[in-house]
Amino acid sequence: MNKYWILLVVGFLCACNQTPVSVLEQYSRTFIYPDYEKVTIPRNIAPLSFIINTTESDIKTILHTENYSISIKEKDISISLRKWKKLVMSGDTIWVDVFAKKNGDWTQLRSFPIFISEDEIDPYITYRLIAPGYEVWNSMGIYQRCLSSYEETPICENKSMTHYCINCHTTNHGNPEEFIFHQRPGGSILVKDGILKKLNTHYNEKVQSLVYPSWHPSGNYIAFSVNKTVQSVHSKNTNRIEVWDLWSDIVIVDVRTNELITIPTLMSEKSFETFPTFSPDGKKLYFCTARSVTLPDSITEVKYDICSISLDLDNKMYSKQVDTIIRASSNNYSTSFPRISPNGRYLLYTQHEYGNFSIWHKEADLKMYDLEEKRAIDVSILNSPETESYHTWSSNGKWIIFSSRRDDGLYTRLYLAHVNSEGIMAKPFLLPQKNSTYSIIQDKSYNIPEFVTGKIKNYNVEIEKLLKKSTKP
Amino acid sequence: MLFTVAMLQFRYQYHIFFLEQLQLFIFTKEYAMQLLSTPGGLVEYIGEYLIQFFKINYVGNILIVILLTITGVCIRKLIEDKNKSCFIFECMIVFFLFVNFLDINFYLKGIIGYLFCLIALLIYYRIQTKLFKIRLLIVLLSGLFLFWIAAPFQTLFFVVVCAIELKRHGLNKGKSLFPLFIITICGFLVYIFAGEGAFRIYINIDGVCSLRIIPGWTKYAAWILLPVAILFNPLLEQTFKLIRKSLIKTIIQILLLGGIVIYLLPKYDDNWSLPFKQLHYYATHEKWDDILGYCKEHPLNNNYNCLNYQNLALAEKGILADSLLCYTQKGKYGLYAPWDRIVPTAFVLQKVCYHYGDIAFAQKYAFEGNVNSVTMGFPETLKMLVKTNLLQGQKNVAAKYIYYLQQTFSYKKWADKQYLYLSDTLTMRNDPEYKGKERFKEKENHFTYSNELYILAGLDKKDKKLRDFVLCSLLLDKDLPGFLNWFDFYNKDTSFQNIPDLYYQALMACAPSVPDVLTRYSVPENIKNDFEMYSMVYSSGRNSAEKQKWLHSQYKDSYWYYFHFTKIEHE
Repeated sequence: MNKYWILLVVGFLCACNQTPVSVLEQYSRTFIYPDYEKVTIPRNIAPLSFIINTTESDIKTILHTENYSISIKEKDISISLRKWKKLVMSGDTIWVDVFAKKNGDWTQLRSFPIFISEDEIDPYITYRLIAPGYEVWNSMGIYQRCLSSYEETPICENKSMTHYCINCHTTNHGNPEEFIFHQRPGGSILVKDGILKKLNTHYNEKVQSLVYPSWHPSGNYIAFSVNKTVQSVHSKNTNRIEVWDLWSDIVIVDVRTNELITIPTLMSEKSFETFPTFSPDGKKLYFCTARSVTLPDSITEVKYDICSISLDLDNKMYSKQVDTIIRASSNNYSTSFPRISPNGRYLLYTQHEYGNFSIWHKEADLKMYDLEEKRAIDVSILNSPETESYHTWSSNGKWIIFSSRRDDGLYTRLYLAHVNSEGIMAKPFLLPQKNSTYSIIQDKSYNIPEFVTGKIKNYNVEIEKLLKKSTKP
Repeated sequence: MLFTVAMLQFRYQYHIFFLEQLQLFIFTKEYAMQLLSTPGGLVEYIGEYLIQFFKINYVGNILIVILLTITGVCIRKLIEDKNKSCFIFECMIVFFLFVNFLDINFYLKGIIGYLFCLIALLIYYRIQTKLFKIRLLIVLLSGLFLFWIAAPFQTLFFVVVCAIELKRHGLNKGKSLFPLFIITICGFLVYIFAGEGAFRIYINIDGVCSLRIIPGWTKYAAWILLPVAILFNPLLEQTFKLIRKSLIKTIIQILLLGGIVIYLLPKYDDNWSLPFKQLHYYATHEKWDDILGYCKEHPLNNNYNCLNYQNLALAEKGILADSLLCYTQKGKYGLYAPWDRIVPTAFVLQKVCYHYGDIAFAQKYAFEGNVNSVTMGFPETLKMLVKTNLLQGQKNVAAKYIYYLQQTFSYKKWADKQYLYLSDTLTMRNDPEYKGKERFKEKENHFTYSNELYILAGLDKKDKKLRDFVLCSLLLDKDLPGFLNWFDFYNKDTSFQNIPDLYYQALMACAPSVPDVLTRYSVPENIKNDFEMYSMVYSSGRNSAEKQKWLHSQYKDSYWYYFHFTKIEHE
């Protein structure tokens, strides 16, 4: 008790800022955290902040190109936007030389490059921030982040209004003028041509809540999945949670007329269909499908393949033939999130042992398939022993962003990677933050990251009014 | 002041301790920047900073009394006229602030912001001799400053300034209403351009309350009374002038205030939650005897969370089955409350699950409870997350939570100890907090459900804690066939010895419908005799009330009495 009183007085008088014991040792085995060694970055990315993971006390870091250099005498590297811009514009490669003072002399500890790509990256990304939890949620929001700075602004947050869940946000191929997200309770909110409206998605008893949207490039149609989703908790599996669909189908909504388009192939009773995605030309719909089994007993037998059908939505024509693109089930795997590159050539997807909710599968990895040459492309550089899951292509097809839990196995972080014209991936890098240890401290997961070609206007007030109207009894 | 300290210490000390449990104040630059970079951030920061010390006995009481006293003094300085005999307004405002403090959905920043507002008003009060233009400029600047450091108190500030202007300068060709006009316009603009949510947080008093809860009228009382006090205190003083003796004036005011306190305080002090707060305090400090002592003295009602703590205390002391019915019981939910997704239930269930070795659900409830926090989490749920993640080998995740706790005043020491376990599992296993908890790893992985403890019990016959949980749960639920099945399951195991009287009584209760119970199990003669006597008395009663009356004195702790006379939820 006496000890408490002394500490209290000291606390009041000194307002002592306790120096945190570093958890970096637990988080990172690499020389720097985040690991930006030998990554490829776009010129217009925000400054990379990182911390030198060493026990040496006297450190000097020089970041230089042929024409410009910055010297920092701290372990925690944080560069101003002005200096960073000068640095990235001054060459093709940034060399990072790290020195430690030993016996009065500066000794080089490490030297590594950061490559700069000429390929531009979309200026913004959107994502949801949510605790990586079970069924209960609290504060969450959909945010947009400027990639050339650290600015993060809310598109829609639930903290200021009565309690609701927001999810499944996506733009029409990065177009900031057209996007959709789902609110629960309430429904889907569509923004198109500057107008907000609530999509009436209560079509029948089965089709009420539409998720996993994918825009048709014309902007007139959105494919959705209709799912009955169940969650359970593992008693001792490191995957912690298992989520599965008791049933799922795919539907398409004509957003002009709110007409629901159903295609029998996508609504089979004998199989689960989910994760629809349109091809860039809108002539094909890719999706994941698995034979339906008794759940949860046979959960490990649920193996999703990636298939496609051809369609002409304007003329209401759909092919009956289903092409199997990735037959993961024959290799005892399952797939999710098929995403086609903007040039239509590459199919990027997530592969895991079974089921469809890959974020809770540590073995989930990204895979890529060349649709033209009909061969798999090695993207193992993107993967880690932890989960890699949701991914999106940039509008020019030169960058991807994806979710990864490689830092600690639970909190999802965003990684960006460059793709060259042959489909070769560069080493991914963590979304830069102002503070190098931000990702360690951040207590929310990043969910559904997507590129956006411009800043999404602030519709907060209109969204709030619409949501309020839609949740009135 | 002393009276308030005494009252706080006597009646509300566990509420004060509980407030500390509902937040996590992180002592880092980043957290400070996060709070201070938003309007109202400073008062929120100060509030959270102070609450972290509420863990220490008396500190919370003293701090609150100091805050309220300073508030009262400031109000007095603001409203006093020549005659200083009237003190009713400041006392009422302080009283309502105190009532608000007793509500966990009203944040401490609501009192600190009020104080900041009063200080700004006092400064403004001193410049009444200046020209109106200068006064207005100072009002605008002060309002802006208050908005940044103490939103939404700039609203109160503008309203009270208007009252001061009216009092000191009259209508003044309408100029005295300018502050009210300004804040109304601002509020309107915020509502239109930033939305209702922003209006609630930054303009309305809702900003100092939990946004999930619509504030009751007591939240508005202090805000309404202040301008009323400014305007009407002179009138009150005039009225009081009619009474010559100041002693009588004082007595009248004390009686009036006393009446208000006596009438309103029991209605609005959240007293229904005080038992839970007290039990929670004991549980977090593992004072199981204190829990049982409290429950004996104050038999619990239907609050399942409190019953869970009571029964957890019995289980921790290893006397669940032996002493189950010596305490109030209300069905199986008294052992394991139904999950209703609220924080108090999370606090309780995480402990219950951890005690019984259901690490997955302990983690689930801890996580889901923690998610509800408006700060970085709750200390108890974060500690549970550290423990469960360490047990599951999720060291990186555990490290994150350990980091949060290391930045706190009260939990750094505990967190430092856990940090060592990241690299030293052997020592961790010998820590009493972890001893025996790794047994879940020996069992096969499966999906957990709400009856997980039953599943775990079925997988491990020798686990006495789980055995008692299952059997007691079935008995409390009056599921005799279920009890008989499980009893039979355990009876085959040689480790099932020293069978408590409760189980024998239950067997006797099964006997009339399953006669071979008496031959299958050797029930002691004294239990048989007791049952015979009980049955005789029971059958001779004319009605239920009479039976209960006759049986109460001798058999109130027996299972038969519970079976016949305790109503449980689904009956």
